[in-house]
Amino acid sequence: MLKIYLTYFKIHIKSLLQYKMSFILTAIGQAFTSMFSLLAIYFLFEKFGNIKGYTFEDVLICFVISYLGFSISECFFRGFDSFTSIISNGEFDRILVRPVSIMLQVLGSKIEFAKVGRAALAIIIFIVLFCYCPYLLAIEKIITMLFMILGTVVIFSSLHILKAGLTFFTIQSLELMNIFTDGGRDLAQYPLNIYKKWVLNFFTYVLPLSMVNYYPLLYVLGKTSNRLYMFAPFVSLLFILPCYLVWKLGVKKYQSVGS
Amino acid sequence: MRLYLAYFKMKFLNEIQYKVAALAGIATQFAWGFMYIMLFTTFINNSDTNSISSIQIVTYIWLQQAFYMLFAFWSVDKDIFDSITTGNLAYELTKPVDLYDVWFVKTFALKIAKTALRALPIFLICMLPLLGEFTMTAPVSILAAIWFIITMIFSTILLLSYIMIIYVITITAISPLGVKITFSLIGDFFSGGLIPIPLMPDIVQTVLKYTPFYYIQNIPFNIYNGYISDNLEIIKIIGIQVFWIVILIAFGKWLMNRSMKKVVIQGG
Repeated sequence: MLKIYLTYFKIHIKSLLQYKMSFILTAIGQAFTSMFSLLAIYFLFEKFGNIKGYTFEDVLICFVISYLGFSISECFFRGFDSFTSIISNGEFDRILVRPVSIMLQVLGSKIEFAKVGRAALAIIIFIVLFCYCPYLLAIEKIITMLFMILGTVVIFSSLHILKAGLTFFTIQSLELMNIFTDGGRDLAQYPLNIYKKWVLNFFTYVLPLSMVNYYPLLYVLGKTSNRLYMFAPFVSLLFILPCYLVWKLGVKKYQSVGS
Repeated sequence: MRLYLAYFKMKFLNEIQYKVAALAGIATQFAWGFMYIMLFTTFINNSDTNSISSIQIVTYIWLQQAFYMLFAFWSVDKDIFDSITTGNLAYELTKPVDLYDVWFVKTFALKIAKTALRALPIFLICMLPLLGEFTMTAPVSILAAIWFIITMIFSTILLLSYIMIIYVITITAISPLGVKITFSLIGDFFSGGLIPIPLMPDIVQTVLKYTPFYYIQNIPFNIYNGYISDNLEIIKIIGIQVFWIVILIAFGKWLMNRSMKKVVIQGG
C-alpha cells in the first residue's frame, strides 16, 4: 500500500521537477494569497484592538493552525477535491479495473506540492509567534497544537472525500460543498465563539470543526486548565465514518458516464 | 456603436444561460455574507472605536454579496485570456474594430449578466424582515438612492478600465497567470473586497484616497447605507472617479497601442 503511494509520490515529484520555475512561482503565489488574509486580520486588530477578549496573537494561532491543516489536506487530497474530472472523463472506469485500492489511486492521482508555499508561510508565522509568546513553548501546548493541526487535516480531508462521494450521485461538480471546505477554513481563522451560538453548535455537533480549532485553543491560550481539552481533536476521527460511508455507497452505485 | 451593442448582446445572452451555477453562487454568497456580518459586527460592538455602525455594515455586506460578480477583480472574461495565450488574438487583430473597446464591452456584458442572475434574489431575501439583525435596509434617503445609482455606474467603468490594463499587460507578460493573480489580489484587497475600507486603520484609509481603489465598491455601498452622506463630498468623489477613469482608460489605450506594435503571436 505505502509502497505504491510512494511510487505515485515519486512520479509527481519527477514531473514537478520538469517545471521548476513554474512550481516556484505558483508556490509564491499561494503564499501571497494567504498574506492578504493575514493582512486583513492585522488591519482589523489595528483598528479595533481586540475581539471578545482575544488579542491579535491569539487569533494568529487560530489562523495559522487552520491554514496549515487546510493546506496539508489540499496538498494530498486534491484528487478527491477535483474528483468530478475523474468521473466525467471516464478515468474512474480504468481505476476500477486495476487490482489496487480505489482510494489509494484517487489519492495518488494528484498531489499539489505548490501548497508548500502556504506551509512555508505558516512555519514563518509559527516562529514569529514563538518569539512573541514564549508561553507557547511548553511541551503540552506544543503537543496540543500538533493535535489541532492533525485534526484539521482529518476534518478537511474527510470533507474532500465526502464531496467526491456525493459526486457519484450528482455527476456535476458540487460548488455548494465549498461552503463547508473554503467556508470552514475562513470561519476557523477566528475562535468560533465570536460568531453566533448556532454557528458554534453547528460546527460542534454536525461538523466537529470546533473540536480541532476552538476547544483545544482555549487550553493553549490558558483560558481553561482542563486537560481534557487537549484531546478534543481526537473527536475529528469520528467524522471520517459518515464521509467514508457516503463514498462507499457512491462507489457501489457508480454507473459509467464517460467514454 | 451598433457593432459594440451586438458584441454586448452576444456575450450577455451566452452568459445568462448559466443559471444553476448562479444558484450555487447565491448560496455561497449567503454563507459568506452571514460569516462576514457576524465577524465585523462582533468587532464593532465590542469596541468603542468610532467608525461605521453595525447596521450600516450589514447593509454594506449584503450589497457587496449582491454585486459580488460586478466588483470581483478576478471575475474577468476568460476567453480574452485564452485568445492571448493560444494566439487566437491574431484573428481579432484582422477585424476592423478597436480591440480595446471590444474587450471593454465584452467584459462589461459578462459582468452584467452574472450580476443580473445573482443580485435580485439576494436583494429580495435580505430585505425581508425575517432575517432579524441581519436584515438589509433600504437606501437611507431618495437622494442617497440617486447618488447610489450614479456612483455605481462610475465605479463599474472605473473597475473595467483597471481590468483592461490587466488584459493589456498580459499580452506582453511572460507569465499571464502571475500578472492576473497579482493585479486582481491587490485590487480586491485594497478596494475593500476582504474587509470594507471603513474598517481599515485610519492611516491606510488616508493613503487609499489617493488611489483608484478607494473609488470602486467603497463609494456606492457607503452612500447607500448612509456612511457617506455629505452631498458636497459626494460631488467631489464623483469628480475624482471621472478623473481616475480618464487616466486609466488613457493609460490602457496607450499601453495597448504600444504592445500591439510589437506583438508576437505564439502558437497557431
